[in-house]
Amino acid sequence: MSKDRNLSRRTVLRGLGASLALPFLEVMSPAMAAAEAAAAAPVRMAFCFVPNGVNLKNWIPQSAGSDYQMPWSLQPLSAVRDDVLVLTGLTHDKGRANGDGAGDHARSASVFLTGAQPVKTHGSGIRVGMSADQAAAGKLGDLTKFSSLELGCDGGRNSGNCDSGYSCAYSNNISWTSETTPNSKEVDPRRAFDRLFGNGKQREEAENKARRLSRRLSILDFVLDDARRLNSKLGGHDRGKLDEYFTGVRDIERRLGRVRSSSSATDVEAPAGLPDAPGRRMAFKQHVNLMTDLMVLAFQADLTRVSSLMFARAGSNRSYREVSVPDGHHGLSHHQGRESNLEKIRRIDRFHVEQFAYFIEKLRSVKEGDGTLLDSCMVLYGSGISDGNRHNNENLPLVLAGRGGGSIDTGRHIIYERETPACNLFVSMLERVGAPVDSFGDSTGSLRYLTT
Amino acid sequence: MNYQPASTSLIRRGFFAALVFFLCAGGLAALPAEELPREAVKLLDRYCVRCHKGEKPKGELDLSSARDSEAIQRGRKKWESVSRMLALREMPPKKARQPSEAERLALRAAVDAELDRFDCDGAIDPGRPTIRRLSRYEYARTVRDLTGLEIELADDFPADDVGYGFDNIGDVLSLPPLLLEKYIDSAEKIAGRLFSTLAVGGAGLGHFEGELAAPQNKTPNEHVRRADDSEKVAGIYSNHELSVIYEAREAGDYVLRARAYGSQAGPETVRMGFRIDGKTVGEAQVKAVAAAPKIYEVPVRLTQGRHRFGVALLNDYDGTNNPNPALRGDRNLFIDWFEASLVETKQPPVESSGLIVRPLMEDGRPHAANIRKTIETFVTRAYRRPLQPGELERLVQLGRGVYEDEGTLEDALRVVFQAALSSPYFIFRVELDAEPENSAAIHPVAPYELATRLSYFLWSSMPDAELFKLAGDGSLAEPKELDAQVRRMLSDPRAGALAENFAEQWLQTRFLAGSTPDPDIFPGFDEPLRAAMRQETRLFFGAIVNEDRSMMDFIDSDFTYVNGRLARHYGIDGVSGEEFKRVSVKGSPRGGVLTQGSILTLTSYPTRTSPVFRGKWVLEQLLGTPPLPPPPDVPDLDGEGGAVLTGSLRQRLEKHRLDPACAVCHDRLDPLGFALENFDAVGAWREFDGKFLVDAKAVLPGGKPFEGPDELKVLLKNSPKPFIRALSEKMLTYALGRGLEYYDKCTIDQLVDLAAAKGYKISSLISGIVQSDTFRFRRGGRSLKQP
Repeated sequence: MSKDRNLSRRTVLRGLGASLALPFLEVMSPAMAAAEAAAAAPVRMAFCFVPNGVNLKNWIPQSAGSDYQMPWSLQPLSAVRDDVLVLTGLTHDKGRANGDGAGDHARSASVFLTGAQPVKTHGSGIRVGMSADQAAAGKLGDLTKFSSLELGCDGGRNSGNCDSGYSCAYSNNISWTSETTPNSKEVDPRRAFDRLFGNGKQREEAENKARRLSRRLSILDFVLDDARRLNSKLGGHDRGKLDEYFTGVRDIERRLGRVRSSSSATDVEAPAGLPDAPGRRMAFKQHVNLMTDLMVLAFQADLTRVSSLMFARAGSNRSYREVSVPDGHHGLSHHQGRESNLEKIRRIDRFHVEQFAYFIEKLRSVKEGDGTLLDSCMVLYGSGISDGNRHNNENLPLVLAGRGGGSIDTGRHIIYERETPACNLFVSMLERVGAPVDSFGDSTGSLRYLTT
Repeated sequence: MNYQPASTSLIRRGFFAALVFFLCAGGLAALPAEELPREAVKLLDRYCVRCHKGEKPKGELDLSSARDSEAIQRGRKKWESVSRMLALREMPPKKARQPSEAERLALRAAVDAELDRFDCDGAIDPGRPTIRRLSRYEYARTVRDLTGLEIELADDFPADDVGYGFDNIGDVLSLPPLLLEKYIDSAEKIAGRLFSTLAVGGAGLGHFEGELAAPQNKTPNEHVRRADDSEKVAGIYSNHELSVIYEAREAGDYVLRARAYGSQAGPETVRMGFRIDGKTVGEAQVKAVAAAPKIYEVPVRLTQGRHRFGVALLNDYDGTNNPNPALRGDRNLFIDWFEASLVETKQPPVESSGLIVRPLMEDGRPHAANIRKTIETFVTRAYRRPLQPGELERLVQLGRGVYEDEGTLEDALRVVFQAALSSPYFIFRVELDAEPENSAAIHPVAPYELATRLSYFLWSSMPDAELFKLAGDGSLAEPKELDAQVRRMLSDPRAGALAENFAEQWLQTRFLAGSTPDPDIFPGFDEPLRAAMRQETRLFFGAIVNEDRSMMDFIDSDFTYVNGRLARHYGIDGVSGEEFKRVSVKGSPRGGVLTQGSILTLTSYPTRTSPVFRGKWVLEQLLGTPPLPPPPDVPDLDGEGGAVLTGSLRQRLEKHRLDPACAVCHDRLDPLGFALENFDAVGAWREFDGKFLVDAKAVLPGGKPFEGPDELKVLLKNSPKPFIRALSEKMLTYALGRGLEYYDKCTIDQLVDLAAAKGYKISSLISGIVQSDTFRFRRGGRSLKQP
């Protein structure tokens, strides 16, 4: 990154520091913005990833259009049927081997939001592509306290190889801030809540707060200086790593600049069942539900407009005793066409969809302006593999919920032509969220038929 | 291309050739070294050269000539790609004539064998690790050694990603914004804790549960009672207090706390009063509601002795019948618990840590020299090197700013410490090159950087005072001193990091946390057992390091460690209780890591064992020769008809291996797992698998039969080098924090020879790594054009 850019940003920040109480900061505060723009609520986007593909037979509706019959695995969505689109036929070509051999699970997560072919490596030269959520966050991030929110329900495999010669970075992350930097996720709901809303102990006198802030800023100044000095002595590879440091500092500064202006969100009520302290074990269902509760709260308070949630990492071998499936998910997904396996997979699929439905219903229960929070959202749910046994990447199981601020006509099943890039959907979503791009990943245009 | 242990030197490994590449063992290896073996040339001509020859060869790759050793070394890139394409089954292309799996493997092995003849004469290329940030584990240990604080902050960090089997690889350790934010928060917390003078709680604590206190309250039941709709809280329904007698053991500052919520109604928020002897000494606005009670607190000064301590509702409101719906409702206060405790002023940890050079003040003015000394000492250790010109000034400047902004001296130091802990010099382990873009510029790692390499390898933490001193006077790099330091460091308790951090990743026992044995099938598996399994492996590894035993003990040993829970699981008598004991396992099937519950469990499915996983684990973790991933379109285990196969798991797998495409790998994988079939999916001994008698007989690809864990271990023991080689590769990867490259083969060769000469003692490997040029040197990288 260039030094100058850095300096000028610091200068701007200093300007902010000197003008603590300037009215324009008030105007910029999310609360005010929300009040003024109640009529036109901001469009938000969220992504939910499930691993290992699905049992397609119980997933894909028989007919297209609005009077399709809900397949068994999607039935939990019946209550919100009018608010969702079932999308079939979309493809992530870059999830295929394309000369790289095995490793479909690692690819399925890393391609999911990037549409890019991950470089096959255990570590040296990790590279895939910026993800769609981050493309949006890059454009919209300045409008909210958090440019985006990444959540997950497992921390990822932390030793050994993850998948056939792919670094674990590929299977543990769907969000990539740049083509070389995976965006880690928060997996503890309490910590995620505290990060969003503060933990109550941070009730401080205004004066203290201002002082703490100014100290933080001088610390950031100091470490940035350290980083610049270090950077000047490093070679290319190392500089790439230090760039991540610069990006992180910039992110924090931006947020500090905003903390002083935004109204406090500390009085937000914690979702029911949120543990008092981090590190508590909980049932998977509760874990997923809490995470989506937090996404709802964060959207509601306009703390961010972009979020993603990994139900589990790619290739996850979690067992699902909640639905009487004691076997590991990944093992099962290689079902070998056996009915007993397929039956268990569809139970897992439906269980996952139930949790997704919980999320969507929750979004719909929040009033916003004349409609609901869901109306302004686009929530994509799905997997980067379609059938776990075949490890194929065409005809991906995808569901899009929400009307994107009135720009999507929901309540239908759309069948796309074979090999339509899933990235076309990202192009359309990015346009609707206010971060338009000419192309994304291997897109060939925007996605048709989202409106009737 | 990266060094691929799987593909190299298989041919030279006698036992292994028999076990794995039986078809290569005889013919190819015996041929002269000068060029590709005749068979391989034939295969090349038959399957590849048709397209890859002539004026315009496909992919600009000519394979029709220059196939001798020298040419292959010169054209490494080209031949590495040949090997890779064969392994991935990308070539020959689908429509072209296909070699059989055996031919494919034979050709690849021959090409790899040539690539492997890398010339180790001359200077060793030490390679170049990418700048490494501290891993989560290293961070916690570093903070502990730097400040003396035992903290759990690092648990809060996102998991580190893994590459080459380890989580300390520079290329893979990224620093996403979330993590940097946590580093900076963590720095604030650590510095805050160091200078904190208050310890709340514990001493003089009086804790009262609302629902237990309420029935004994002196107020009439209609005002204060166990809540109507919850057994677990007290309800206060009018302006009354819920109180108890609390005895303050000494005069002093106390804090009063209550976990409470309100039923909100009417125009005001619920107000709660804290009362001492009937007087309201503090108030809180209770905005919390039943779903999420909150803790409220106020400070108070108390005299010694008995006090009536209570909490009260201050603004009761009853609008049950209010005609205005907005004002309708009943405002009440609910108390989960309330407590009082002495606030002790204690010495801040920074005092006892010796981090501050006293006095900080002199004649009412800051003592400049001591302040500078304090800062310099701390930051030098945090940065793991002496400060550079100007650095101290900048740090002092930062502190001065705080001091002048109405801060105390402690505030100033706290901010300086916080900045140091947030600096890239602390977060990253920095190693510098004079010519960072010149890959030919090989140079010794600088003394402080070497001390840091050493301490993170053996301790996963910062260098201690002695290493600092030796780095300072330049003697650390002397081979004798390095050896002495390795010995000293291995006998230090901090070397436990090798068992916790290295071994748990090498053996993958970290995964055990994610194993979910089916409780219906394995009702005996519980958390204490899981923990005991993991601990056994740690203690076992620790013993081999502490006693400098032979690394072959990992394969087979006559001892292990068990506590009562694990002993019961293994059927070992005479051990009870939680404490671990070393026990002899002579004459039992246990001994070595392969028969430990941890490994047997983590290589199983939740419902059953997996001979395939177990075989894969042995090949990958112990022998360093992971099997190729399965070819695409693996045929169903059930065969075409889709009929459900009956029979034992073993019978089904045997059937699977009838397909030659599967057999090529599964002939290697399955026998290793079959030999362990007497251990169930949680590592307990069994004679039956369901209704089938366990069959632990197996046959090596060469046709040699063996049976059960004992004979498997004998096979592995009889040919130590593949195992020692694999372990050397893993440990070198961990020590360097980078994936191995082809040129590292020379160092690995040396390490294996050295270990063999020293009876495979583990110290010979550890100290061999530290003494190697690869560990002590580094070089610049190739210039990197930003895309």
